[in-house]
Amino acid sequence: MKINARILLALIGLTAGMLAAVAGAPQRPLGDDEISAIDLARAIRDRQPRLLVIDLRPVDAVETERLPTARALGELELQRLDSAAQLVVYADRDVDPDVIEAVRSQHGARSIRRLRGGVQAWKAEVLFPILRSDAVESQQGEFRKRAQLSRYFGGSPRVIEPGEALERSRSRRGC
Amino acid sequence: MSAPLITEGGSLISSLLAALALGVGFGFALERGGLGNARKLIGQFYGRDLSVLKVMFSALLVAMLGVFWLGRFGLLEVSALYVPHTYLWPQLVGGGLFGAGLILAGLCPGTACVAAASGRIDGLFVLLGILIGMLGVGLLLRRFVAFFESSAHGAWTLPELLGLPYGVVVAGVVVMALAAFAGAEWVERRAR
Repeated sequence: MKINARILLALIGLTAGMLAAVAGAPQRPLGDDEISAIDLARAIRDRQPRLLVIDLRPVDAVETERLPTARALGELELQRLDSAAQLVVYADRDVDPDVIEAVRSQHGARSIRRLRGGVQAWKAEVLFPILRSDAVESQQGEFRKRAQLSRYFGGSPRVIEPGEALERSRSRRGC
Repeated sequence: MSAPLITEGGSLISSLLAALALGVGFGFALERGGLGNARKLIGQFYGRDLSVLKVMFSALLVAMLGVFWLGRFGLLEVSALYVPHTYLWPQLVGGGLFGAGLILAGLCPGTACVAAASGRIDGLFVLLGILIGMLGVGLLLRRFVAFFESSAHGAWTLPELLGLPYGVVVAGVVVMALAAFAGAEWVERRAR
């Protein structure tokens, strides 16, 4: 059977579209060695046993601001840690998987996860979440839970009017 | 490494070079699609030739699916992409004016550039008209600034408006596009 190129392209487009509906979000799903900022915030709030949050950034950055309960890598002697410790490491953005392997190989096999999006994700998702006031009910319900979590950590969740310009440095160039 | 490769605040020259490369690519695709010809574009409004709809909707579909799946595979940081803000009434009026100009001139800004670059006199004149229009808007904008900034909705996306997952909206747009393509082919067949 001869397949018309246009029909083939339409089928490819349709398949990609239907798979998108199944996939749901355009973000890569969390890997086995990753944790989201929200999940980490819940784990810290619930005082999850053996959770140890490690800041991989330079010491001066850690001294300026760090996640609650986090300790700088330099402050720790990983060899002496409980082998059952649940390590979560973070940096400004994503931590390279190679760094995890380096830590793991130097200090033995431990549960080590990376904070997806690092400090930037912590700020955007936990400390300063934003919702449009015209969001649908399901989004508002989810936001109320996030707002509670945010306030627990001293954050300031905001509901903005649709026309209110977000404080973002991005600007559009060209058209 | 993930896209966007040129971030906000990066060097201006790299942004300009990227814009030039993308512009040349876009122009080439438009020219190969025959959209540098005003007669072809105007055929859209008489139901004779719906190439504009098919080419532009195809481009939109490729970009939409590309953004979704590149993001999904971790090759593009979707949150780093700029979403233009919605100003409902000014954009509706602007869209109406744009459409009127397209019918009148037979070319839009992109296709006017393509027509001019391929040596068509009408393309040059449309470009001249666009530049005069831009100058006029720039000079008169202060008088219309209240309207220009009215009915602002911020960076508003379809998934937010509809309260649906991003992927479901993507699938819906794909179905809509394929239906539009089939409809366009039917209209063209009837016109022959």
